[in-house]
Amino acid sequence: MNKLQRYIFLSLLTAGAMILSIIESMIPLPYIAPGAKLGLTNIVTLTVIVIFGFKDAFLVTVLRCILLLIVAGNPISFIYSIFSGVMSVIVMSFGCKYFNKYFSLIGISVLGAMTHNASQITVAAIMFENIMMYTYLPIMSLISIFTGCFVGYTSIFTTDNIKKNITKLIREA
Amino acid sequence: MKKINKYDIGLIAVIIIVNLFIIYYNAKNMVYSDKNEALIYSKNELVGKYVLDMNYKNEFTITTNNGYNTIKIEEGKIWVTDTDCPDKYCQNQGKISGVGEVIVCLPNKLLIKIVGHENKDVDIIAH
Repeated sequence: MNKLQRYIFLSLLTAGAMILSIIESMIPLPYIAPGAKLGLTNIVTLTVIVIFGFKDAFLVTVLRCILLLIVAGNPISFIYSIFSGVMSVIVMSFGCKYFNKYFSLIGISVLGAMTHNASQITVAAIMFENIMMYTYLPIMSLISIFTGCFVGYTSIFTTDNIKKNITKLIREA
Repeated sequence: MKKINKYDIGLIAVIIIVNLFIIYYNAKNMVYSDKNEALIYSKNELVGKYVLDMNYKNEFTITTNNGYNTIKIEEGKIWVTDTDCPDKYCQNQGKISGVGEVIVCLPNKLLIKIVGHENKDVDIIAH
């Protein structure tokens, strides 16, 4: 796989992540806690971490946030999404690197979803200058288990498929 | 890539147990009383302070350049009845009355939090 192919692949994944976050905002969810989301973009982030590594996943996340800022034009949600996205990339790649003997992708994505929620609450606490925002953390963590399992299970299938395609690309090159 | 294994299940079980314990602990320590006070912050500034007495009734609107929130106080509870923010989270957060409970509206930067009544009365005076 040469450099050009790699960049094309990464930009496709970035576009996919952006579309997923737009679709996610259209899905109506029952109200549970402020900021509770499905976290579908974590599928792309986790896939990139497994296949390309930390650096590219970081790049994809930051690019996705900036693109979403341009498309949706919401600076407040940009601050939330970039901070929580970067934090969950760091935690998930750490988990992939050092705990891949123990946890499957499901466990790693649960960890990532929890970090995502915790950092979102941290941003809210800083913006409101109110530590009481952390009362939502236990409920959010319980929800993030469900979304994390779902995301992890999906990314197992995605990584399998993409890995097959990439080996095909390498063979043809 | 393997499917879910025992370490994943262990991790999930630990998270569920810890969080349920924290929720239980918070609920047990929640203080409901007649003398709780609701503090209303708009853009990080205190704009209102109301004692949540059972007989106290009030309804008012807080307007900023971002939008408005209509807040109602009745039967010792406080909640948001109407707002023009897009996600309506503040309306959906329902009625609150216990110490430590909060209602937030992210688009309008509104925050309602409940604090216990500070006991400033002198217990005893010794001569």
